[in-house]
Amino acid sequence: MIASDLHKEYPWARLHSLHYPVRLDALGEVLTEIRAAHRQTDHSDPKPDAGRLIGHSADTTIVRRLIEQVAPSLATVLITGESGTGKEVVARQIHEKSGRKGPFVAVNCGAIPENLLESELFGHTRGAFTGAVSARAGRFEQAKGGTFFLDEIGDMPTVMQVKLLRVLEERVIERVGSAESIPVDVRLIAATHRDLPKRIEAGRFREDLYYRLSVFPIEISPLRDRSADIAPLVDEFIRRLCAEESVSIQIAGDAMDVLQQYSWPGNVRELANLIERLVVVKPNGNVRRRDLPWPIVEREEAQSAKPRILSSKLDAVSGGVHVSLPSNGLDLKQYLAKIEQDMIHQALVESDGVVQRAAELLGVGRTTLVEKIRRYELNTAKKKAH
Amino acid sequence: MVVNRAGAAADNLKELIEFMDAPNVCTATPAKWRQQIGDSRLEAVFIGPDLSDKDVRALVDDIGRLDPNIPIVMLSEEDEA
Repeated sequence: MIASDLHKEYPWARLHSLHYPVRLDALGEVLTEIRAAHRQTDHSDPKPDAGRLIGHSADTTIVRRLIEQVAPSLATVLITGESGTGKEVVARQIHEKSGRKGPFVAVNCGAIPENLLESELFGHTRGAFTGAVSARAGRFEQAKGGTFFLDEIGDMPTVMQVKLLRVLEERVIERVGSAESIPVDVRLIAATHRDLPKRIEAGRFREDLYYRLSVFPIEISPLRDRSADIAPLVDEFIRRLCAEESVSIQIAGDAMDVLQQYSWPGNVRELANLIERLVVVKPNGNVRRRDLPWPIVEREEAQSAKPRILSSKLDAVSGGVHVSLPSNGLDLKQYLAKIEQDMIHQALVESDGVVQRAAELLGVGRTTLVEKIRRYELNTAKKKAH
Repeated sequence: MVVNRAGAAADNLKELIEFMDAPNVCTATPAKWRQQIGDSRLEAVFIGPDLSDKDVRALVDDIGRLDPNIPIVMLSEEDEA
């Protein structure tokens, strides 16, 4: 049987042909094609260690509970959070706890050129376009019986959004160049660092797809809002790296204080990178505050100066008058809540209603402040004008 | 993996592929290849020249069920003419 006959019978197959006895140059060409194809379609390999959710902060505990709840179901999950917060880790955890036997396949929608994304996701038939020398199954088919993780879904071109919506509604795909519908048994998890409602308003993301994806939303807080996770994360990264590099480092108390105060704009990824750097710079050493890179120490100093500025402002406002306990007592919880409410109100006025700026003024994380604003039913639209 | 009936031809091909820096090449007959690989992941399957059409079809069917993206290399005897 010759390869061209086989092509007709098995249009999906990734067929190559060689004459026997084999010539080395021809074999070399085929092996090069195979290697190139493997690089393009490499299944997302399992990373058992990277798949663990580290930390015991309230936010991480909630995320862990949500994972337990959603994993056994087939519900589509939408994971949101800033870059580097560990969205893929959460997705892998859901897959591992789902009991699904198929693979975990991940695709970063933002990393694949728009013109290649469709064939990457849905596959193509032989000759569907120039360069499609053999048929290929897409990532959806590769994830058969498993989990398909679509990272950076907010960056998916709108044309592709329509096609993805159809897959979610009908559970079938069509390879590029074919009209045949192929059923797909996959559990879909999507993630983005983008504000999807804002992108919907801007006409860059389909509202119907958003509702299809966010059947079970999970929001991951930025690392600055869960500083209780920093020490366990540091320990974990040190454990992994030291095992790999056969070295041993310790983080001294003064250095750990800086790490816990720092705002981590790059989140967990930035922390992991820092530890990797420290393992190289101080192998078998005790890392002190002075060993940390200056941008981290400098920003930590700037941040820790804030409460002092705020307290001096408070002194100025109160005229240095100390509060005293009324003779008939008070409800401390209510009293403190009132002060908190007033402070948030003032910060919002000072920041013209910009929550991020107000959060910085108050020295709390944005998510924390949003929660408090919601609880106290404060209006963020208040302006400084009065 | 090289699948062929005649062991000598399969071994010859295995040596050539390994010579081209592709390690861990194994050989098998059409009847035994599936049990031989177990849970290992296949990078490619070379189908030897002495397999019948029926064997080839059965093999390609099985590969498709296992993973449709496994590259299949068909070896055919060069025409004498």
